[in-house]
Amino acid sequence: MKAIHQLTKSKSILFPVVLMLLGAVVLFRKPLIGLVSKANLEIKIEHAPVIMPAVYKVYENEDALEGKYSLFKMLVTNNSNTTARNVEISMEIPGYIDKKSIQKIPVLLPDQSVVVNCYPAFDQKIVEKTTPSKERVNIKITGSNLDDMEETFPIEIKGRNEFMYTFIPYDEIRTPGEFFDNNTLISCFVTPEDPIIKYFTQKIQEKILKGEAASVENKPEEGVRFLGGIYDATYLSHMVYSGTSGVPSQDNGISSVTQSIRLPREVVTGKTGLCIELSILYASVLMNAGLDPVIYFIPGHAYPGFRMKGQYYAIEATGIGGEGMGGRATAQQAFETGMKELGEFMKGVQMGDDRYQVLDVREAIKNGALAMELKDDQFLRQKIDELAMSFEAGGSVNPNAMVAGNTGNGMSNTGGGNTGGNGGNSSGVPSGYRTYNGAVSFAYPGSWQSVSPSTNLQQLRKLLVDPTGNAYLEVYQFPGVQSAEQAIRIVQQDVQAKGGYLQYAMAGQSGNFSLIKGQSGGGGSSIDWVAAFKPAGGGMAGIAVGTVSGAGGGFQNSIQNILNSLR
Amino acid sequence: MKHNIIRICILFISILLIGKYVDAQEPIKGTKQKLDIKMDELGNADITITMKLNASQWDMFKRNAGNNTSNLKREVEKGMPKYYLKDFKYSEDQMERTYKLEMNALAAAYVDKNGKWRAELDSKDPDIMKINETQYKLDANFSGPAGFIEQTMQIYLPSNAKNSKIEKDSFGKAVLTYESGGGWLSLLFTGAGILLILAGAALIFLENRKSPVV
Repeated sequence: MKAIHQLTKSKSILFPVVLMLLGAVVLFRKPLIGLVSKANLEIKIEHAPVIMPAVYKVYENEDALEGKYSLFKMLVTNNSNTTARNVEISMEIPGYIDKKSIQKIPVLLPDQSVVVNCYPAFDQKIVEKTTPSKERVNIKITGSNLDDMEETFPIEIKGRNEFMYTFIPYDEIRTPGEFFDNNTLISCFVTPEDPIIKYFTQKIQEKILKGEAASVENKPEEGVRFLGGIYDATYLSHMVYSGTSGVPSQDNGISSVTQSIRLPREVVTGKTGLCIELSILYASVLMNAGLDPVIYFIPGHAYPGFRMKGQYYAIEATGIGGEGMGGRATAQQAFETGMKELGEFMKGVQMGDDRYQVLDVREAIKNGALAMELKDDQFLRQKIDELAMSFEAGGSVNPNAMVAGNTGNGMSNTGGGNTGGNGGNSSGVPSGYRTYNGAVSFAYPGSWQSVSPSTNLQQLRKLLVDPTGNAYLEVYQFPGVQSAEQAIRIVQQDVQAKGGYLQYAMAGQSGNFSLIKGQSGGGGSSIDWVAAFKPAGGGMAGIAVGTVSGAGGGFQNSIQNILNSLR
Repeated sequence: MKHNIIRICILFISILLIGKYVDAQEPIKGTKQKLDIKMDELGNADITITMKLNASQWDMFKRNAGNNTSNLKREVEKGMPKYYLKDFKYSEDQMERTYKLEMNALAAAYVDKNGKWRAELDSKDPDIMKINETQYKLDANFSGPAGFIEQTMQIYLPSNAKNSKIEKDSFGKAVLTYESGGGWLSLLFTGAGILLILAGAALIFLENRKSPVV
């Protein structure tokens, strides 16, 4: 009887147990399905065309240059109906990077995607690699409920000196400047912390400049003197300019010019350099001395300089030329040429030609384009000592001569370079000049006449014109206006209202004057001008002085003297 | 893995306004920019940028970008190298000097190990306001070479989002987190599962009461 009861009870319990099991299955369906059904992932990979060892610090920093230089970018999409769990992505480059996990994804829902950017950390010894080689990047994807996946792609690792100027595919290039899309990475060749460059800088400071304080005093003339000191160091050590062009190369569908760029330590000790190599050397030394170096790129050429107090300075580093190249320029001549080229550079920029680029090295470093690390080398130090012996012969640096009349591109120098030093008088009035005194004061050539302006713009207080009608000076006062930019916009609106155009660019600060460079025109002619405004009388006051485009450089002295006398 | 909504917006500004397009034509008043970011249930973001330009800006924009929308797309992609962007759409109202750019950014938010969705804001103290469980408003002003930009950003979370809040990551930066409700089907399954278990338990209990062992 008891046995019959037990049998009946077992049968009656079976149904509720099945119900409970069914409920558990419904409740925990997702993990249970995951145990029996696997997820499928779809992978899409975009990768860099090559690896350049010189920029290894950029590759490892996901914030560098907005993350533009990842080794690869991968889109992982779960295209199954099952949630993928504990997905892990790892990568390796045999011989360079050991297998390393780059991302863990706890949960990847059906149809969900994740973007995986790979920023690999190469060992510092990669900068010892001097020749290119073909390698493979291996990627592995694993997960709790998916079959292991492996992806691989070939990649060339360049030698440490090789630099590829663009990674943009040829059919995506839109403007000539994009052939040099990687110019910011040039900053990675600037090595101010290289012990050899530090040593070289010390020798320049000691033997050529006999002491300097450019970065401490923050005086442009000291900066220019330093620039001349570097030039003399290259000059006296009989360094020569050696020209070579980049080699067009094809890497993973990218057509680019690839150039072998020697490191600054190699340029110094090898006593020969290309324009870009000399520019990088200057930038390294300037930066080591605490200045703000820049490198100007123009079509087919590059030259160095520095930025101070909103002004830009340049020197033609290749002026060292060589006996085989028809002579050598002195530091002063190289500086004059550099400042002249800088004027041309500014024009190129104003015209919107994107081949004219400036690399602000400190800015690039701030954005993550860090220099490679290099070890000390006793042999190279000895080479520097040998070079420094030639420094004792004395250089051509004459700071006063170099600075006179050349106070930087922005206000005082309008591209004409050093004009003989007669513009260096900044306190007295040059002979033959008259003075204007108002909200601003300045001296102007006595032959210039005051004429009635052809506009009813009330803010224009005075118009002076040179007898040939090719140079103009306008005095403005803008009551209630808060900035130089607002002031120039008022003029711009007036010009536009009359059917003309006015383009401008802010050009920094000089003292309490804000500087603006620009061009205005209409009816087939145009005027290149520079304006300087300062706060005055509850608004802004200042002058604009310029010449008719194509009138030649005959007015450079006058304009420089006017600007130098502006108070 | 950083999916940074605010940075997206800043990039758009730099690309579309203060880049090479309008370098000489700058506004005196602030330029208004509206940005809508709609997150879907898979963490992808539909981004819509609407900008109203003044006369000179519009002129410059049309000259440099507005008539070459493929270049607009290219510039946006170049400016946001970490993202996968797709479904670009461009439209404009010339009479109102307004343009609208739409796109989809994949994986703008992701699920963390606790099953919570996270969208990183990359800012320590953003001026963000919760409007309701699925909507946030963020005001940001930027000044640059093109002048002053007043940006209003609205972030719309999926309709089933709950417990949304601004949290801080290990570095003190703001992160928008939310949980996904799973939808009505998921609720139905969960309810059905619980009911089945309860029903089974009840039947066992009743069976034990009415059949004493003899």
